[in-house]
Parts: sequence; C-alpha cells; structure tokens
Amino acid sequence: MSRRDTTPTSWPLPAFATVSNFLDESQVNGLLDWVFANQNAFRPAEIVDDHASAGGLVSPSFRIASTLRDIGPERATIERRLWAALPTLERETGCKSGSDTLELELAAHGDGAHYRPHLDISYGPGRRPIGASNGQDRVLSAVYYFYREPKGFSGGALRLYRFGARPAEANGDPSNWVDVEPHRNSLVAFPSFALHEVLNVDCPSGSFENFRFALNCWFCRTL
Amino acid sequence: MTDRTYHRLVELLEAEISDEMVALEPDLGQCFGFNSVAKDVWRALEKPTSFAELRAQLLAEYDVPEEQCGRELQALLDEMVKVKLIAPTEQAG
Repeated sequence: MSRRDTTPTSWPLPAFATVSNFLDESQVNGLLDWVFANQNAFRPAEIVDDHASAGGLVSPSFRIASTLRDIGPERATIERRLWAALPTLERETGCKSGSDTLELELAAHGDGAHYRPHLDISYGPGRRPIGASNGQDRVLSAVYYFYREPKGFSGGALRLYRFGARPAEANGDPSNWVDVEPHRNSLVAFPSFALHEVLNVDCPSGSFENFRFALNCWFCRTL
Repeated sequence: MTDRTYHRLVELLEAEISDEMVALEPDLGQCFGFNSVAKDVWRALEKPTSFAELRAQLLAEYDVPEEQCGRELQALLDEMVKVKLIAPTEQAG
C-alpha cells in the first residue's frame, strides 16, 4: 500500500464520468413536466446520518434543497438508460460497482440551495448502511441535471474533493478539488465514497420553474 | 518457511486511478491507498490465496528478483494484516 491517512494533497482526485445528451429531448421535457406538476410533493431534503435508526435529518446549514422519491412516468426509461450506461461509468470512474440495485431521487435547488461537503455513504463505527435496500451501500453515484431553458439560475456546480479528505478539511487550496458544471441533460458519475459538495445556487426569480433540478442516482450493493 | 494462506477480512469501496487504487473501509471510516502491487495482491485475495501463489503471480507480472519479491510481499501482507484488511488463514492440525 502506498498511502494511508496522510495529508489530503497526497491523495488523487476522483475520476468522474460525464455523459452529454443522456436523455432524448422529449424525455427531458417529460421530467420537467413531472416536477412542475408535483412541486407540492417535494419535501425538505435530508442529509446522510451515519447512525440514525430511522429516517434522516434536515439541516439547512448543511443542505438546502427539496426532494421527491417518485420520479414519475419516465422511471423505466431512465433506469434502462442508467443500467446501459453503467459499464462506461464504471470504466471512466475506475469504480466497479458490482451493483444490482438502483436508488433514485429528484432534487430541486432554488435560490440559496447548497449541500456542504459529504459522502453518499455512511461510514465509521456503528454506521447504518444506506442504499436502495436494507443493508445495502451506495457504491457509484450519478447526477443527472435538467432545467428549463432559458436557464434561470447560476452556480450549483458539483465539487469533487481529493480522496481521503475529511469534510472539515474541504477548503483552502483549489488544487484539492475539481468543479463540474451542471450542464442541462448531462449525467455525471463518481465514486460514492468521494467527498463532494453542491455549491451555492443563485436563482434570482425564486420561481420553481427556474430551479436547478437533478436526478440523484445511486448504484447500490451489499458489501 | 510456512506457505501461509491469506484471506480478506473486509469489503472495501474501491476506485482505480491509473495503476493505483483508493479504497474506503466503511466500518472504520478509513481510506487506504494501494499502489500497483498492493492492488494486484488485494485483487488476488478475492479468494484465499497462499503466499507462494501470490509471489508467483507477482513474479509473472513484474520484473523483480525472487528474493526481493518475497521479502517485499511479506512486508506488504504484514502491513495489510496490521490494519486488519486481511488475515492469515488458520491451518488445521
């Protein structure tokens, strides 16, 4: 082995995969129609809680967004696309998922939305695995970005930190991270154990139709 | 020398970066970096594998004298045992 618990700068940046034009335009519009029709069903987003016995925590200082688990009539199509893309995502991220289940969640990001540095899995002694099914962990994360045009927000990039970085260390030297812009109709994948963040979103109109939308996807398996 | 067999103790979340690998042991919350050799050894230990088998695999893959290979492999295995990623398999009798 070469490194363990050393300074963050000695660890590599995570490799990530980007797929442009992930869905057909009609499917993008179908997703937009769905989120607009279901605006009232979105709920304040929870954060990963390593040890909670049930449910999650809402912590606005850590995460501001709203989420919806029901992704509507495009679910089957999207799941097919995701499974078809998985070999490419695994190759480009270097992360062989061994996944057999998929967890999906819609997220809406309005003015001031953010998600401070976090991992998509729970970790540490006494952790409670979170995934598509009981006892499963998220292995490979993917975010599909979509929004209405003309674009009504700015910001909201995905920031990926060097492996081994702890949330408290996630600042300072810009060489310790890479930012990925949330381009419309693109899918970005990265290892679920890579520390990452959603940077602040500016949406001056405050209108839900102008929000930055994401479909959070997690390929899961039992470790 | 006893030809010990080793097996994995944990499952890791893994990501390969070029020839290397970074992995998280989720129950400890600890990240590990594997160089090329360590990654090959970890991959081989997906099923219990003896020291001799591991050394043979490395000798086939890398241009290294046998004595050096054995010495460095043992040091690597000892380190992996120390951090509880693997353990020697108890022999019957």
